[in-house]
Amino acid sequence: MHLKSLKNNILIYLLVFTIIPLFLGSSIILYNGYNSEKKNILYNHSQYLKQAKAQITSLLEDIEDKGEYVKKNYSRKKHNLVTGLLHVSKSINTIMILNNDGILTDFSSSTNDRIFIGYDYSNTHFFKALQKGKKSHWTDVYLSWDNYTPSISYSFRIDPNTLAVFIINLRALDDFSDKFKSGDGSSMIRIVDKEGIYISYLEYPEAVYQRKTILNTEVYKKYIKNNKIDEQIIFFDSKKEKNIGVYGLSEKLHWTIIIKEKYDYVFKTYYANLWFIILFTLLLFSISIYFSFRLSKSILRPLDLLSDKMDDIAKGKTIEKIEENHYSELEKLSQNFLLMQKKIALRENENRQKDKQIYDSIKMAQMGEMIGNIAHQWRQPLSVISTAASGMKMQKEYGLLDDAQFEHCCDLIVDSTQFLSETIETFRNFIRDKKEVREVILQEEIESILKIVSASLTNNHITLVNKIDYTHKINLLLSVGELSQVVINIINNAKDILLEKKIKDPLIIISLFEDKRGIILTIEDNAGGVPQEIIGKIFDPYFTTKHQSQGTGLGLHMSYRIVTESLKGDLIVENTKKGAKFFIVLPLK
Amino acid sequence: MELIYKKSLGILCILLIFIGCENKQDSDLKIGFFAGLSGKYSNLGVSSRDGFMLAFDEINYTIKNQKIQIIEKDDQQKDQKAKETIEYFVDNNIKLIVGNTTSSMTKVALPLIPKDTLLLSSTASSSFFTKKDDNLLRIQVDNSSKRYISLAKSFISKGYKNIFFIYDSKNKAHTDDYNYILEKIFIDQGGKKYIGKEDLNSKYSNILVQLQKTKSDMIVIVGNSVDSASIIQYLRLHNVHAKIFVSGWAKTNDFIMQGGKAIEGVLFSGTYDENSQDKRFLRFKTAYENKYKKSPSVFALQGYELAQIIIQNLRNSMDVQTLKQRILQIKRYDGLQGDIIFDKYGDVMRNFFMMEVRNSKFVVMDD
Repeated sequence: MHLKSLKNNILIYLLVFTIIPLFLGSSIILYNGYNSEKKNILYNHSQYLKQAKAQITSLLEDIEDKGEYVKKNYSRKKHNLVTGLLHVSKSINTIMILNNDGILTDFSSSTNDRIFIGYDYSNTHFFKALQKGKKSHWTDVYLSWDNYTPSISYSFRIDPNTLAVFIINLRALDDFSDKFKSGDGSSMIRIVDKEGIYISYLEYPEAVYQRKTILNTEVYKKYIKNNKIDEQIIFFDSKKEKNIGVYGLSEKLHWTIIIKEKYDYVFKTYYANLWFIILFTLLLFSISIYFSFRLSKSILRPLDLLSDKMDDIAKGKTIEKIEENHYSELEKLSQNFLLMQKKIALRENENRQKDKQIYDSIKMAQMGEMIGNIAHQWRQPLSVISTAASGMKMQKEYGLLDDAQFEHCCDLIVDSTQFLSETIETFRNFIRDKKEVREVILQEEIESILKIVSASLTNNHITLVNKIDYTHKINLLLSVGELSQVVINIINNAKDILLEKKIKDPLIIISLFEDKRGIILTIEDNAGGVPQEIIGKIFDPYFTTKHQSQGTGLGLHMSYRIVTESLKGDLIVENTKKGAKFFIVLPLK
Repeated sequence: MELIYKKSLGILCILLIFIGCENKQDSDLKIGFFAGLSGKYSNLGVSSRDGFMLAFDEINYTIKNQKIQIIEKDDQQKDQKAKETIEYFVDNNIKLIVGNTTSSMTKVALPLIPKDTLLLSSTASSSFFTKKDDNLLRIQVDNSSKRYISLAKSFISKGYKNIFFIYDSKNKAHTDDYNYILEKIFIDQGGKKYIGKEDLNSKYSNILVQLQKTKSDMIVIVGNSVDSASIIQYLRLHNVHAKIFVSGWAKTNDFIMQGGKAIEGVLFSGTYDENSQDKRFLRFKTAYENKYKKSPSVFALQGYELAQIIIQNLRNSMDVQTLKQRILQIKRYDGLQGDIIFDKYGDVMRNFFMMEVRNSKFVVMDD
């Protein structure tokens, strides 16, 4: 499992829970500020748009009023009216009077000397429109033949046989557009005729002279084409400058009027505030980061201290005191750790005493078993000595003791005492050399061990079957005392269970052989085996099936530990058809 | 702590990637377009531009995922402006230039075009550029001897022998062809030397006086549509009844609109028929009218055809350096009215036919 660092997590949480609210708060302020600024701009632009629409209508109506004037007075004043009107009208370049066939009958022009009475204008749009019955007609932008500049014209009927045409200079619109200026000095207005041709674009007059169309521009494709009338529009112009504004249609000729300002200029104040807010937010970020670190440090320092103290405790050092800290929870934790340390020490002491008691009881049990074995071993020779001695006494009293008999009894007594002496030596070796490691012939050592238990087994009518292979001597560096303890323990356990279960023809089979796993000593009985449900637990400490007065539950545990830890081998138990079989596996080297 | 550093580094990397994306290099293919877009000659320029733009508009200014940026300039039919425009294009490393629309301005621009830059014109017709292995390609048929022979023969066959020549001296490269080559061929074909020559920019009254001094039966006018219509109105008004032939330069709607009934019967020679029923032409005409709300002129059509040739070749390869070779290699292109066939010099061949204004329309003459 991947372990996370508590310190890093606390620090991250502190940072996240201070920075995120700050970030969200400042973002909301900025977003609202931006939206509010946009709304103000939209309101202002909408006002400008209204003014522009009104003034364009007024400009066109002024021309139409002049038309009305011509209509009413031409029949009376004729040419003087035309020249007089042209003189006072800056926006009109040329006034033409046509007859019903489209033939020029009268005119006055401030820009063209190539118009002549009698010219035929019957193919023109304005003439055709009036011929179709219209009372008046405004054209879109076209290249005027009077001064070769883009122009528009207004034509109307004076009477059923007479028509008038005003050719209007688009510069009149430039004068009008010039009134709409942004704070940075740039023109705020662009006007486009209903076919998309620019008719006023002060910042880029070439667009008008070159009869450029708005159809390929972003503002057209994004907004005008999609009828986003009176909505706020944000677009890049041909100079790749970002603009913000609004557009609408003039009522009279459906010209598109775009009111716009440079985006960067109108948001200048907002940007200034934006930087201030960003800097202020960054300052708050820094402060919150600083305090997050401080706070995490003040919380984590006592934790570090505690952690160090725990390390010391784990290494076995005794801690008398933990530095006081300002947090009640951590102080309580410190005190609890100290208390826990004391309790652990106390429990360790108790365990040590308990272990000692157990060790003593094991020792006593071993001693008891050993004495039992000695008793079994000694019973027969002592009986022989006693019989021989008492036989000699009785024969002596009856005068039957002859020299041969006496010698025979003495030999029996000497042989028996020698046997007793040998037995004492065997037991002494067993007890004395418990952990001494020496090179031995394994068969011989096992033979000695069996001697210790053989009498006890014989007395209990248990047959010991020796299947040890004596032909191939096994030399081994071994702690014989430890191996003896294990073998005797297992044989005694087998003996106990055989007796307890009162097995008919009880037997214990010992074998020794060598295979690829190592040297294997097996001890097998016919007591029916270990119940399957406990077979996995028999090497556990304090586990016993015997009555409390008989077993400590440590015998097999100690055997297991001796084989696995000290002899570096393995101790395995299996059930055979008749009983249990223990395998003591010893390494070859 | 290490975790925090790793996370911070990750965020920084993401930011750098974003910044990197924002600052990516502009890789648009730039095409320079220049023409007389304002003033007296702007009908030609504006029409060519609108036709040219329409073709790119149809492909959303994108070829093979690469954006096409068309940089538009107005030379105002002035030598100095034309020179400045070329300098601007060269300074901005623009290797593909479309322009100019009049032969005079093309003549000014061509010597300034670097060797690695290609100049493409849709309307320059002067024979000055004919059979020259230069970096000019054009889809306007040149004013070649072949063209003038058929024109001269046509005049003679109809009995016109006394030609009075009125020309616009401000587009000399174009008018010189009519002034000298047509006259020579006309003589070669059995006609006479022009019986009078007048600059269209002179006072009309002076032109009339000179004309009335002669007994011309044919007036050849080489000028733009507005000027040509105006002088014809003036001449007819003053009872000049000679047959009038006008160069293709004037063949626009403005000529019809401003010529009134005075232009009825005026002759033109050209390669385009405004009333053609060719499907490709009709499709173009519809698209043009939908966009610009007016009928396309011959020059709009030629601008569109030129753009289509460029687009077709850029689709094969965006390499401008080899564009001329590739255009000439393909040689034959589908025009809006018949094939456009390039010769090895980048001049084109198309069939000419005579047209006449009838009922305010350009009508192809049967004979």
